[in-house]
Order: sequence, then C-alpha cells, then structure tokens
Amino acid sequence: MTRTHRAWHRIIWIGLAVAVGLGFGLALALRPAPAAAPGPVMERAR
Amino acid sequence: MSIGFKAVQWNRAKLVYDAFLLSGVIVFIGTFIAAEALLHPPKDAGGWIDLRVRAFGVCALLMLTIILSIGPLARLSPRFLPLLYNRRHFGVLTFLVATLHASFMIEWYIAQNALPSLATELTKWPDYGKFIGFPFKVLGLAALLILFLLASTSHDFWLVFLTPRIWKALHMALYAAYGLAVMHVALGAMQSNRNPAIPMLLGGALLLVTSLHLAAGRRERRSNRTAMAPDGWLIVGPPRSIPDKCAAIVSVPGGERIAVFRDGAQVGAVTNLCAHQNGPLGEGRIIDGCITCPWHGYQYRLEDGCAPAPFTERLVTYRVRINHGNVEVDPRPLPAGTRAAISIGT
Repeated sequence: MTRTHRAWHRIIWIGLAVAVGLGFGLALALRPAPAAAPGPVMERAR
Repeated sequence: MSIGFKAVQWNRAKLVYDAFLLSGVIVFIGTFIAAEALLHPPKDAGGWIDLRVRAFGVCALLMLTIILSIGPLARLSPRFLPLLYNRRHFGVLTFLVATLHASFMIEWYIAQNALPSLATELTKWPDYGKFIGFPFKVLGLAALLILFLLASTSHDFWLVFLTPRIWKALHMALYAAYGLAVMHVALGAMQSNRNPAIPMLLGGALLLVTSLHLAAGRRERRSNRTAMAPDGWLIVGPPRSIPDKCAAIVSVPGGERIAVFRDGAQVGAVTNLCAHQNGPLGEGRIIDGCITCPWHGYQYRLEDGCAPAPFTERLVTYRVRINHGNVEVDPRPLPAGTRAAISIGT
C-alpha cells in the first residue's frame, strides 16, 4: 500500500473500530430485558 | 478512452483456493442447518426459511471477518500469504452468500404474506431516530450494496481502468461494510434473541479483527524507523543482515518505502509497491532470479526492476552502495526500469 493508503487505512479502521465497538457495547447494554415468565401472571389472573 | 479486456487468468492455485473456499462454505452452512434443525426443529415452512436466513447470515459475517483478518495475518506471518492470493474470489463469494441471506429474508416475508409489513418497517421514519429499534435491515442492505460495488469492480479490468491507487482506496469500503454488518446483527438478532452466543461471537469477531490490525500496525511502526547517513542515504545494515533472496524494508521520511533485496552477492533496491495492486514487494522473495510479489506473484528483475518479457511492468529503482560495511540506499528514486543493483562480492 502507498503511504497515503496506509494513512487512510489507519484513520478509517481505527475510527470505525471505535464507532462500531461503542455501538456494539451500547446495543448490548440497552438490550431489552427478557419478557417475564407468563406462568404466575396467568395464575394470578385466574 | 478504451481499455483492453483481460480474462481471468486461471491457474491450479486459484482453482484449489476456490475449491477449498466453496467446500468450506457448503460444509459450514450444511453443519449449521443440520445442528440447528436437530436442536431446535423448525415447526413450519417459515421456520425452515428463517433457519436458512440465519445460516447464510452467520456465514457471510464469518467470511467478512476472515477477509479482514487475512491482511494483518499475512503481515504478521508469511504462512498466511496463500490466503491473500485469491482474496478477491473470497470477497465475491461473500457477496453471493450475503445476497442469498437477503433473498431468503424476502422469501420469509412472502411466505408469511407479510411483504407490505417489510416495506412499513423500512419506511417507519420515526424509528430512524432511535438506537434500539433502528431499522437494522437497512444497515444490512447498505452493507450488501457496498459488497456489490466491491464484487462488481473486483476484476483486473477495473484495477487497470481505475488505477491501483483509486481501486485500493475504493476497496477500503469493506471496513464500512463490516461495521454496518456488525451493527445489523447487534441491533437485530442480538436484540430479539437472548442467546448469549450471539454477543459473544459478534464481540469476539470484532475484537479479533481489531487486535490483529493493532498487532500488524505495531509491527509496521517498528519497521518505519530507518537510520540515515550524514549525506541523507538510508542505512540498511550489513549485507548479511538481509536474508538471502529476501528484502529489508526501509522507510523514506515522508515518502514511500523501499525494498532492498539481496540475491547472493547482488544487492538492489526497488520501490516497495508492486505495479499490479501496490502489494508489499519487500515481503516477497526472489524466485527464479526475480523479485516476486507476495500477493499475486508479479515478478521483476532485481537489477533494473523490469518484469521479464513478455510482461512490461517496470518499477522505480534506487541507487545502493556499501559504506562502512553497511548497505545504504539513496532515497531519491531513479526512473522506472533503471539498472541500479550492485555486486557486493561476497
């Protein structure tokens, strides 16, 4: 790769790695909690 | 303006590479579908389509991860260079697998008689302002469009037409495609499915690609430090420090790298950029008396940087000398094809 390509390559992949890493971390942290088990609720309703 | 068409030059190595690639994809998808069908048997036709969607999607993401790992792996160890040889076919096959993943997804909506709800999902504009709940299929579609652009310009015709510099810059869009694909899964399957394997595998793949790039970058930075003689020539080191039929790579401050090869008693310096795809010539070897690019095997004579007949590619060369027992290189380039190698008489 030419020097310019190497510089671009470095900027692009570091920027993307940080952005995607943050996005992935956020998506993991903000995952909705699993739906509550329906059993007891159904029993209470009955 | 016109440009000559050059057909794909098939050879045994490419056929073997493609055969391995294709069988790997078939085995992976077959195993994925068989294992999932055994563990969680699909209940209806829609379930089977969904299984195919997941199998091809996982395969495409895995292939993208491997493609992005090949470059740094080959820089860290020459053992991985054979993987780099036909990486373009790897990329085209990845595009085909990703296209099948998308087409099965559409098939699923058709089978559920719910195609209009796909259109509603993609045009629900308020969702574009959300993070969780973002229309993740758009991210996958954008990644697929980038893969299409790269696959359709992967032929050598486009390499010559666009020039290696522009072609290489264009194909860096693969990083964007990978980022979009990772977020497509993170905001899609990872939200709707609580299986811990999804974030573990996705995060692991991301970590692998990042770590390999960091390791390769660190190694490159070390090779960028080149000592300089008082008159500006670059000091490479004693002739014996360059392994026979290999090169030492030196960096010109603010310029391109130079590959200094030794073939027995002959030492010569050429640009580190291959005329084909700007591959790192200095990471190649001298085979049959010619400098051979590690990426696709393009060859050049050590003495003048010219490709042997009937080929016409020529490399920029550099003057070399022996000074105080060290090989030194003049960082000012000579016109391409200038005879500049010297005999060191060892």
